[in-house]
Amino acid sequence: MSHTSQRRGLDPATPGEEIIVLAMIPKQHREDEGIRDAMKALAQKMIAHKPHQWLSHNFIALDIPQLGSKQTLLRWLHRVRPEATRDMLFKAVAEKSSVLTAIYTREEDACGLLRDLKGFWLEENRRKGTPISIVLSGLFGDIDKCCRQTGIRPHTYLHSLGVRGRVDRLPNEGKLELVTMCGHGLIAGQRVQLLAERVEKGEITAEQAAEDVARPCVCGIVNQERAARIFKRLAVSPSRSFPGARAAAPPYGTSAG
Amino acid sequence: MTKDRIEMKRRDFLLGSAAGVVTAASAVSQAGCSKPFVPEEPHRYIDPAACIGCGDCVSLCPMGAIHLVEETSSIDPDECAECGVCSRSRICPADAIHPGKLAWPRTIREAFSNPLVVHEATGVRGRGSEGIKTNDVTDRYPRGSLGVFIELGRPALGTRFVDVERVVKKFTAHGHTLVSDNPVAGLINDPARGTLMPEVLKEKAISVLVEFILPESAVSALHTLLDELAAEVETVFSVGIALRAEPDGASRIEDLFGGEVFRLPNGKVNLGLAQDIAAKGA
Repeated sequence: MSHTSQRRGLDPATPGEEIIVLAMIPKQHREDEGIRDAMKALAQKMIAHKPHQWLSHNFIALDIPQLGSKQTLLRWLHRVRPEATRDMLFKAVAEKSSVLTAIYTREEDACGLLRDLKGFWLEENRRKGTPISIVLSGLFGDIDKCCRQTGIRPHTYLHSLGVRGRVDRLPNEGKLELVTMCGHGLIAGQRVQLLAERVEKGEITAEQAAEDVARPCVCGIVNQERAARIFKRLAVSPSRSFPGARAAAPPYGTSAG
Repeated sequence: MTKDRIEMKRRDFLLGSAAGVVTAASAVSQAGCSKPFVPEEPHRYIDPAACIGCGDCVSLCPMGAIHLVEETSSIDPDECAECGVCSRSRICPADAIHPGKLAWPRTIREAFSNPLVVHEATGVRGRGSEGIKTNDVTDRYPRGSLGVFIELGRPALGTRFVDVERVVKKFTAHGHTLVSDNPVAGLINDPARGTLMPEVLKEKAISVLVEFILPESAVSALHTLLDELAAEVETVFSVGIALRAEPDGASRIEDLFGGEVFRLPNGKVNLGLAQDIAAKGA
């Protein structure tokens, strides 16, 4: 999952739009005693710090084959008692999955979570020998700020050197900003186009378009708040050629070869 | 194999039962039954008899493989990457989209494109390894090394495995071997040359991530390799670089690649919160 590192459209001129927190149990420690309790404790802390979005936010709308008949039950429960479903799902994910993700759209929430994790949770992990890796994804400036505030020193970086090859075949930058929100590439460019046209005609709101575009994403890491902003920007542009590319960065990176 | 294929729907179950009793199915068919037995396609498909021609599924396909012609939608099997978005969306009011019964080598499309399918080689869903995410435990990228990620087909275009082979061959020829826990490693038939099994070359995936670990001293050679590959491939590729932070927490990306090399202002950072914990607990 080098995926979120290749997102387009994040701009140092508008910091704080998103920080994604990803937690992972290393493969060789997935069966360690106590590791699931540590994940559950982490899940509760992630929720407590008010993520804009986390796994289950999108989970309900998805058709996940692994859930089988539970999917229908969950959807029903979500309609009746959304908060209870939310808690139940996060605990279930923490018990089964080796990965947890949450999107924070307020810097203070993300930094607050880190500060919290550095306390009792980390001490307990050290005491019990339960290693869970934490990764932040977003603007390096935002991550750096969080690290400074919490006294955490970065361990490893993943940088993107952009896109090479047949960049002439790519959709324009505005569309790419939405398409690259799903690192597994499950958002279709033509869906983005269709939704942007519907927003422009006033048939749906930008928020509805953002919800629609997030649906294929199984990880729940499409930032719907930012997606809605992009749809609004695309809708007010005079043409549908998606001229939303930000001038601050070259469109793709280095040469097409 | 995904569970959506295992969990047969009622109609599939009935069809499957019919397949188990060939003579009976045949007799029913010959007797003029309105629903003759139809074998599953070897790829995801839309049942033309069930499709109502609404076209709602067309825009969902990340590969643009669904077309509406004369009020019937169909999936172009050559362009379909078997990601399963169309099926999972439940957008079809007639339940006309079927997963088909995939066989080798087509199964690799699903393994690389459907994030709900676990790669047997890595035990990770999706297309890569744990990468930097657990480097504070694994020390996969120690200081002095670079993790080089080349994700073919990303963004938006998809890739054929012939382009994946171009990359692996190029790096192999320069002495850089694909990491052994990368899902592509299982497709290599000649490790000395970096060639893939010939039957997979025309297969397509939404994207394929290959990873190499190079010494920092190979940066200038890496520039050349990337420039050459950019001119050779028929798709796009995203480039990612994994780097262990300096003792003070800083990144050496600018020192190594120079200030003039394009890079996105965003990326990922492993915070090191799991460092040393495993050893203490062991």
